[in-house]
Amino acid sequence: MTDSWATLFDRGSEYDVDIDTVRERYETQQTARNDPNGIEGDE
Amino acid sequence: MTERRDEPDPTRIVADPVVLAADLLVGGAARESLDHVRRHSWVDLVASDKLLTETESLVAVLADDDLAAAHRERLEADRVAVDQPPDDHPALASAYRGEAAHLLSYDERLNSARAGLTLQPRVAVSVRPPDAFARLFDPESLYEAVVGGEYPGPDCDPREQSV
Repeated sequence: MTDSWATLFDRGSEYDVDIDTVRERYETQQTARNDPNGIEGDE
Repeated sequence: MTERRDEPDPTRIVADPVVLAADLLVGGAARESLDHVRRHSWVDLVASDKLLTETESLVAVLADDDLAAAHRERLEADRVAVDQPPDDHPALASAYRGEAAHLLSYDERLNSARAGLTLQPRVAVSVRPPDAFARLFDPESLYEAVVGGEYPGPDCDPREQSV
C-alpha cells in the first residue's frame, strides 16, 4: 500500500528544507557522480 | 520500436529530481506545478527509473531513507515509466523517451540558449521553472485541444491516493 500524497507531504513537512538547500544538495550529488574521485560521497 | 510523434505530447510532464524533491519537502511552486498533474487524470508525469533513483537519493540525504523510499513508491505508482540510456541526463531522457512537452526544472543551464540549440534537434521540450509552469498551465484550453469537449474541471484529488 503506497502512502497518499497527503501523508507524504505531512512527513516531508517535518524536515526544515528550503529550495536553495535542495538545489545545492543536488548539485553536490551531481558533482560527486561526475567526478567520484574528486569529492566525497553523500555518506 | 514505436514511431516517434512529430510533436511532443502536451499532456505529458517531466519534473527533474530537484522539483520532485521540492514538491515533497518544500511545497511552494514545485507542489503547485505538480498539483496540476495530480488533479487531472489525463495529464501524466513521465519518469525513468534513473530519474526516480536520483530523486530518491536526494530525498534520502535531505530527509531520511524511509521517506525517500515511500516517495519513490508513490511516484512509481503514478508515473508513466520510460527506459533511458544509462549515461543520459535523466530528466531530458525522460522527456525525450516519453515524448513529453514540458520539463520542470530550476536548472538554468537547461533553459539556456546553448542547451536549446544542443537539445532542440532531439528533444522538442519546453523547459520551465515550476512557478512559470504553474502560472501558465491552462487546463481548460489544453483539455479542449487534446481531449475534446468542455473542460469538466479537475477529476482527481491531488492529495488522495490514486491507486
